[in-house]
Amino acid sequence: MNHSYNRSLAGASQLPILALGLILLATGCATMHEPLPPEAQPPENYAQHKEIGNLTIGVQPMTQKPEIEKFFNVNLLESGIVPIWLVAENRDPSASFIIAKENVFVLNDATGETNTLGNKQMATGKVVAGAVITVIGAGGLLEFVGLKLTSDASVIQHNFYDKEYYSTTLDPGGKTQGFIYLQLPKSAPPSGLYRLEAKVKNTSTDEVTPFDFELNLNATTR
Amino acid sequence: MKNHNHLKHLPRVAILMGMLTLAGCVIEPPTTLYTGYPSRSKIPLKVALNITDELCESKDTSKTIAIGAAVASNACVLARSTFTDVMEITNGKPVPSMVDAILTTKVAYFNRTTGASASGEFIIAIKLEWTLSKPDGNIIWVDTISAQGSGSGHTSPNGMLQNALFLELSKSQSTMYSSRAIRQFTKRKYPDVAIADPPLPIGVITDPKVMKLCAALGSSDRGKVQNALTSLRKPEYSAAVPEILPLLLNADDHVIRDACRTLAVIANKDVIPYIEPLLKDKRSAVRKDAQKAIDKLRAKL
Repeated sequence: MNHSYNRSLAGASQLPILALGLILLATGCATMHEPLPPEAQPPENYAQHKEIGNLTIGVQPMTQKPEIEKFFNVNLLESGIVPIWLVAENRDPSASFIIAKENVFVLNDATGETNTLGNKQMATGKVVAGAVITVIGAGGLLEFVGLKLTSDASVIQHNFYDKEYYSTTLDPGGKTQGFIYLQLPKSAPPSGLYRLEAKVKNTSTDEVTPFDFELNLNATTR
Repeated sequence: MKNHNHLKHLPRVAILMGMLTLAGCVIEPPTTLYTGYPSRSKIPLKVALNITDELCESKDTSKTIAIGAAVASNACVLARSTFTDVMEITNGKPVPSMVDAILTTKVAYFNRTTGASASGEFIIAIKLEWTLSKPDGNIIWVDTISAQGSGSGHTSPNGMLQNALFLELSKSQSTMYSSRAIRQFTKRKYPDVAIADPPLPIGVITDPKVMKLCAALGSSDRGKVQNALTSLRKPEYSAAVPEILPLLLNADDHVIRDACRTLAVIANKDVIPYIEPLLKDKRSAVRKDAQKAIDKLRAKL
């Protein structure tokens, strides 16, 4: 009698848990949504901007935790990743400009090298922004930021790559935007002076023009 | 006590079974080729389409969905619908002496997300980078095109992947065909050849609200797609036009008709070649809305 009672009680106590499990399976409310990207302002609205030959580029390192969590759902600074927002606009009436991802890179201003990657690109003093992602990427971001493969993690990973800057040709009147990811050591707070360089090609003249920006990460908050 | 233990594990078993249901299926790229490109005068260039091993071996970030072969075979159709002369080469070799340019594509990003439950949102996203370069390697044009398909755990993942890939191809062709850089190169190369005017420039979507609505266009839920199309029906949302064009090939006539109505409001005459095939659709309601859209677009001239 006692055993029977206990069995009934145990079964009854499991019912809400079972129901909860089934509700969780049946509803989509727990799925994380991909955050919206920052609203792209005209490039000249950013403190760091340059206009050369009717092409204007603005950049802004994202160094505040609340801001990063708003756009990435995770604090990338804890993993040593500094997202840099890049916006470009072509106001030339006829020329097109190529801004290839592999031609946008970040240098350590003091040494001319990055202090981030132990590969051959480091020896050359240049780390291509795209290569930084390659090191983290191909599924590696989850390990990098210490996430296990869950639904939320898959959304965080997708959002990270979805918002990245990719190669573009800007026709007259064209605009583009995206994040460049600078990878710094995880052990120390991001700091120091860096230089972002974008080599832009005018497709009419084949002329390549470098756009240089100073990035001061000393004010970074983790 | 034994029964008690069974019950104790029941919720976990239920959740595990649910997860296995969601994660267990193999996703295959579509075997059919996308052919929904509008018929219009091609860009008069002799192009070598460069199919690389890197492209053919491309997979998603979890290395479970092989997309490369499907992109490669579709790239041939896309190139032939865009340029007058297309030949294929492998891994950049050999470069025929008579080609004007080499077209190469690579999968810049291919990934899928999983919902927290069967009713949650599942996304398949793809980004292709297209590069047109001179035979000496000098780049004429490069662009990265993004598309995604979405649905729930109950949606066929193969269908989601097909939606994403077909949207990707449609947008890629539209962007390539409209490129000023490619047309300027063509005019320099063949100054005596008449080249049709490119479509009016399509703006980049920078408004996060429009981005969100466009993301819903890849949904397998008809209601979500229709709601998004209705919300996009504002002239200031014209940057969404390339995202809407592939919906003209949707299997659902309600989606096609709403796409026509939205294009009539936000697009210009350049989309008429995309709508015209619908005038021969077997569904009278589709023909009617297509004709209305074309009439409205022509009135904008």
